[in-house]
Amino acid sequence: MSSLLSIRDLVVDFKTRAGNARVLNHISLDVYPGEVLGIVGESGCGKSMTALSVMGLVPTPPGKITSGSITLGDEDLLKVPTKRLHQIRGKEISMIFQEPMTSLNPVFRVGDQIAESILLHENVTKAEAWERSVKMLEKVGIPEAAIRARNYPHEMSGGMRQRVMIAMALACNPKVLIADEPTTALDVTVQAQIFDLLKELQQDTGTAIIMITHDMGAIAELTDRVAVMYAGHVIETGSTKDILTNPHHPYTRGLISCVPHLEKNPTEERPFLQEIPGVVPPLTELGKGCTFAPRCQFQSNTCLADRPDLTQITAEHSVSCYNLEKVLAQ
Amino acid sequence: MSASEIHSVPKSQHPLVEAARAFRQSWAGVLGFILLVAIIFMAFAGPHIYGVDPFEIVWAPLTPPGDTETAPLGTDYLGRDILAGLLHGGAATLYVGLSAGLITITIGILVGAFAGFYGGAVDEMLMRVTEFFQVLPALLFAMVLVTLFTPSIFVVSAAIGVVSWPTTARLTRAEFLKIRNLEYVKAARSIGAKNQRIIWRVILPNALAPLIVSATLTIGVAILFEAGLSFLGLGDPNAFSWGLMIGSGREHILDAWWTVTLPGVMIFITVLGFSLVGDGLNDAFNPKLRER
Repeated sequence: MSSLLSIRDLVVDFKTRAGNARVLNHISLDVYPGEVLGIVGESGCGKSMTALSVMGLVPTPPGKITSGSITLGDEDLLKVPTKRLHQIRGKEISMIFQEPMTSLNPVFRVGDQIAESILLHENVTKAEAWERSVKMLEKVGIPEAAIRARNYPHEMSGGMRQRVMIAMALACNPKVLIADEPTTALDVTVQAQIFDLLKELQQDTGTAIIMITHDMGAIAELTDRVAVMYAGHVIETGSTKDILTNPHHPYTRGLISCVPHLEKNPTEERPFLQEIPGVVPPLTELGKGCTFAPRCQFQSNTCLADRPDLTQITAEHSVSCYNLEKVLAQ
Repeated sequence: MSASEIHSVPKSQHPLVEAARAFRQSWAGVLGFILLVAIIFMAFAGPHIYGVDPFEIVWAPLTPPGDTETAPLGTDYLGRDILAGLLHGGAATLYVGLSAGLITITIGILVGAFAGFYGGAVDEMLMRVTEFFQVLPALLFAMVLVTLFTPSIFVVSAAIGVVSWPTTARLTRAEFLKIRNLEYVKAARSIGAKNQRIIWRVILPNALAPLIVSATLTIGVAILFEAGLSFLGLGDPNAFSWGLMIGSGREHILDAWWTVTLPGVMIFITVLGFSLVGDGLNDAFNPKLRER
């Protein structure tokens, strides 16, 4: 199957006072039609920047897309003129954001905001756009949609606003939907509802979803494939099942064991809540070696001297680590 | 979803409608509003009810108020009716205030919006121009402008507008700098909105509250400005304004107080009205003050 959206060797740099920060370092990702790709990692490892690059919303300056390509169909999104980019955003690719409380415009009715995204891309009358936006609200599970469409954002709860955001993003049937931590700001119960909704809509419309999260639960529940990112690198990719049941990279293993297990008795070696020691290093101070080496229990001299490439181990599963044997032996 | 069964959908209210309700609860705003309505009524209906030409000589010069029924509020140094002057002068004064306010707001919003939205070199350039206008002594600069052209009511308004826009521009810029990085601007971009649309349809409506407050205050300042220019003899001699009355009476301040005090009181009430309305709007738009 050929990919729908393909990111190749993407490099994004940010100029900071401390020096040049390479926030994305030669990352390559593919999104296939109708799948859900999860991107997982700690804060500051480049998940959101990947999303913003695809949307063409990297703040420039200080950011700069140094090299690489992002292809959708047969167009390189990094090379198309701005005018075309405006057509693509919202119509071909859309995005939902982390903070439903602040991502709707407070002075317009929610129905108008959904209608706006239709009017920007399709040649319809205002009345038709309004009707469709009411239908979209119904589709995302807002009760009494015709009345609710006349509400202002401050009259809705966080979960409802996130539903409105989803309606807005899906109003023009985009091929790819980027969800940047769509549930981080919501209650656990509402989180589950939003996941169910996304799953349902995804099956309905066949829109491919890029799901950005640091929640392993969300990954397990929603995604077909996963890319694990660390300090601007993709360090492991594979099917969700492979990644969750047979993780190879020490960082992925760490992330998975960070999720507390209620059913298992905590022991000395396996406490109730495990953690990965240390934090993501400042991107301006990355050495030559593996970016995870300073935090890795398997680190060796090779790791510190040279950065491992992403190597295929099965048809679907790739990982970048020099000490796989040691890791898997544990 | 059973949320609808548990509690009914709240009645939808535009933020401006809510602000209007808060405005009605502010005594300052309501008082200002009443004052303004009275002044506007006087300025537009007054001349029709009291049909005396303010330029016409009706009685002996410098007659104090109450001395004759022909001119109940006295006459000025030429024997013209002060009451007729007060009634006719309102329209010109309000006209100058409103049009100067409009010019101020228009230039200020344009400059501030572009500077705040685009940032970088555009911001630098526009802000240097703004500072250039800010460091010029406003009254002096306005006097120069009025002297360069024939002092008509339009030139006076334009001159006031041209010297007072920098404050509005700075306010607009600050609002734009704050709003342009908010999530809903990013969200608007992500559905494909272009820059111009984001400036005028996304950011500006959200920046409007402080701008409306500042606009009302600007009108008050513009009216004072017009009075100042007229006092110095630079007003439009053909348009009967309160400022012109004060200006023509200034040599008789000591022996005929009513020639300057009465139009002065009118200006005071008008400016007070605009300021109070501005205060009321400020309270209405500030949700933190609403609960008090």
